[in-house]
Amino acid sequence: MDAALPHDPVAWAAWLKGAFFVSLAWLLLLLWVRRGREALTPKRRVHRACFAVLALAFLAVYAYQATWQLGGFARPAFVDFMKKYNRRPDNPAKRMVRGEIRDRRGERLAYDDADFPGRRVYPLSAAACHIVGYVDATYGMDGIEAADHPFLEGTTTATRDEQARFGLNLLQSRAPRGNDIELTLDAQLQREAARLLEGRRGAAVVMDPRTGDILAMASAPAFDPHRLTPDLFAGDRERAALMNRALRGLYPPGSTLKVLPAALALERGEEPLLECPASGYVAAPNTPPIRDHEYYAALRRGGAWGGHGRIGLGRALAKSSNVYFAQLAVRLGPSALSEHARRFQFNERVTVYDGSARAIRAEVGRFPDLKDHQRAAAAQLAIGQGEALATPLGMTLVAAAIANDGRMMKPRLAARAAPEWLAGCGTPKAMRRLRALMREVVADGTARAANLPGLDVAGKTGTAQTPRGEDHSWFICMAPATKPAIVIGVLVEHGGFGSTAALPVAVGLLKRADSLGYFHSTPSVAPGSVGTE
Amino acid sequence: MPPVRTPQRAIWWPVLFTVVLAFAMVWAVKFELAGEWQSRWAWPAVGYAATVLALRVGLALVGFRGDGALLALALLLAGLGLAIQFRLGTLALDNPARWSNYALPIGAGALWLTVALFRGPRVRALESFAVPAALLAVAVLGGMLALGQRFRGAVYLGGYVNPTEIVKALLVLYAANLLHVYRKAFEQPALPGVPAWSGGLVLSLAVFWALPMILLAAIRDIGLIALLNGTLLAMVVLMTGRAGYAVAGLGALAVAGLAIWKFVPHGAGRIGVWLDPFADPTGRGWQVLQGLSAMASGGLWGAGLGAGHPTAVPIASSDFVYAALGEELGYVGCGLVLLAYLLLFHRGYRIADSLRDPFQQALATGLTTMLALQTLFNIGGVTKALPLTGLTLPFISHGGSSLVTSFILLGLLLALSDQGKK
Repeated sequence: MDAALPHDPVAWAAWLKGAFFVSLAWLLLLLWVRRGREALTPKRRVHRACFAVLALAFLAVYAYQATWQLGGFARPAFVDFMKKYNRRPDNPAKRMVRGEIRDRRGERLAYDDADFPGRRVYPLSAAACHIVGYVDATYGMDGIEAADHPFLEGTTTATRDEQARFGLNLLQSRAPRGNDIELTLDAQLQREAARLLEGRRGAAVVMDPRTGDILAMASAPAFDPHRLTPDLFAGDRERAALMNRALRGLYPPGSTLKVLPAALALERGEEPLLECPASGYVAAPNTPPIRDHEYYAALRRGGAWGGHGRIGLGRALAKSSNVYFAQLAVRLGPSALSEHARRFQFNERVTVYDGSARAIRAEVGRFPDLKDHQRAAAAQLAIGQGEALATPLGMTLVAAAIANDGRMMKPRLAARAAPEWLAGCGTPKAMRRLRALMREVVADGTARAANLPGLDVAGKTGTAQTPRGEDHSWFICMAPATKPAIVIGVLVEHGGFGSTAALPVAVGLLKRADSLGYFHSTPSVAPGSVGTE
Repeated sequence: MPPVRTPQRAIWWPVLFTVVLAFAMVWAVKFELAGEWQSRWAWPAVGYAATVLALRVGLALVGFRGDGALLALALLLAGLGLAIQFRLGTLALDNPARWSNYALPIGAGALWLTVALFRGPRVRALESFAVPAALLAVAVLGGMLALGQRFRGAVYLGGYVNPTEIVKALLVLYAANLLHVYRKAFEQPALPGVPAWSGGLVLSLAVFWALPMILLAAIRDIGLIALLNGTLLAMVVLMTGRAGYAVAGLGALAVAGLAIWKFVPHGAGRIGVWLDPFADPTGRGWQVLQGLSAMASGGLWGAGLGAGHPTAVPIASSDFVYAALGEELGYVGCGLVLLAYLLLFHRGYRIADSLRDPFQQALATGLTTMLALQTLFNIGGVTKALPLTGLTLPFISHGGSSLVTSFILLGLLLALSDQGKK
């Protein structure tokens, strides 16, 4: 009888089962009701307690049985066992439907194939592989698939909705279903970010500074989550395609970090005019002078450069003058600079996604704790060299804080989480002024290629020297500068000047965001407000 | 209050009807698979009906006036058991000569004989059988050790007859007598949980209780040791009404469990599997995990008798029959079967409460507790609520010796129920 049944064992078999249950229940009821009319009459009540204990023991065993028979789907090791060794054609473990992961418009990012039980489909494939992750029998889990595994499997009971799903699964234990996840990601922007990074190493992050919503987060190189191979897991982790560079890649931030001393100066209401000669600036005795890149460019051409002369903060930012910011940092004070970096959450970890299994966290960056006598170090750090490091998400957060008038919002990836304040990084007045200066960088500075008509883009390029190979290329930007709706952070490893490699990626994303309507509607498309396609 | 006697006739037809419905479920699937009706499929059900009828007539002939509801419940469970065994293919329909096909009629016969012999006032004769019963138990166990062969960790005689089953009936009889004879020592404990000093009691316990336990340990039947001592403990607590024994007994259980875990490799394995079956899922954990998989596949309502795949579970027909039940009758069906068992034990304790004679009362308590604990241990083991003990599910599991013994225990209980009235 263990061969597969030729076809459904006829409807009347189900009727027979129903009749059997009714008949058995009726018989037991009859026996219980008539218990007093039996031939024997109890003379004592000694055994009542004993029977009560026995009945409780049976009840406990029966309740425990339910945790396997009905709630077995909530035991991961058991589900694993059943997937491997339950050979029944109607194996409930294989009919379990894992929850879907969807973007803010309801587009599916991960779902179970209805035709092939147990097969997971990722419509965006490599484009969202790092953040969505994968779940695989051989290679395990990563990304949100790992962070929210129990939630997706329907085994959590934290909220009313999860409890309802859990209860339903208990009743329909032969075909349990997990909970769906809605993300703040925009699949269209995500695709574009991945496309623009293709063939390079780097990361791009798009955020809504007002809510902290992560609209896109791409990392390159990427991998196809449907085709995991052993090579993917072998070799140098840092170079591996598995690494989400947006969250885990720590890079010298280069000139993008100049916004930090700029912000601190503006907080103090200072915009000093400083002499910036071609000979550079010596922060401390016996240290090499810090010079501007124009000096080296002229040197390579075989010519000479006259220096910036006496310039203010705006001009210095637009021209990305190392000499100016090195002096500014020493003027502001090394310890004050460290203090300000901490306000921007350097040396902190921020939670990007708080899953039911674990949280996805990321560092904003690392910034050493300077003492006031460390003038040379402060000068180096102010221009983004030395010991300072930042993740692409971290620099995007710094830009988002500037964009949101000094209020850094917690990065938000799950639509079910409410937007949350993370830190106060500056006054609205200073931040407005900084945005105006960053607007100048795009209008008439190092980032002129990002000056898209009508979008009012503000930004800052960065070129970070690396021990080997070409410089890392950075660009952070926001638009519109007066009241930003979008913030973008891009890093391209060994991309050369910020304006050559990272900037075009950001421009592509700005254009796509524009065509998607992010600059026309305020606030931007709220997750859940648009129905599933 | 004079006892009201109502004929139990009304109960029999629903029992038969329910059991036939269980068979009909299996027939439906078999018919669907074979595309034709085979008359031999009817034999188990016909045999069951004939057994029930014969037992009714036989009991009426000896003038039985005991608890009909108790008998009806046991026959209901045995009928469900037969339907499941038929479904699992344990009955050798091609081989009518196999004696295990006739375990149910043989059990019914043993029950009838027990009732006929000890019905009414004659039940007092059992008192004088107590010491011979214990001697017989020691002899049976000794003989098993000398002559038996090992199979699946237990010892069997030829043809997989397992005479240790009968030891259950013999020793519960002895325990009831012991309690009766040394009642005073038990009722006036030296310390809470320790009976007053009596040389006779110590000697009796050493020879007729400790010795069989040592032999059982040599046979490696830890399940039966737990069952017998659990029964003895419940009897002592109930007959004396002293909670001290319960505390001492549970303490002894904890110590014994720890000792088994630490020092007995075979027992440690079972406790290890119970604590974490996933440590060795394809080895030691395989059976219990396959059983749980079967139940999970059954879900709330079950696949229907005959429509599941319970033979994927090792030894589904005997120790793990409850898993087959869970797969094919679902969580609901399991609940109804458990209710039937509870009703049966309720009747048993009611009988004990209706008896005046201390020996008979102790015996009724022991018989009921033994059946109840065996059921609890079996179901607890299959659902992983308790470690596996290797005990069968009374009246349902396949196994002739076990079924016949269960019917003898029930027969004694029925005999006790018949003498309450003049």
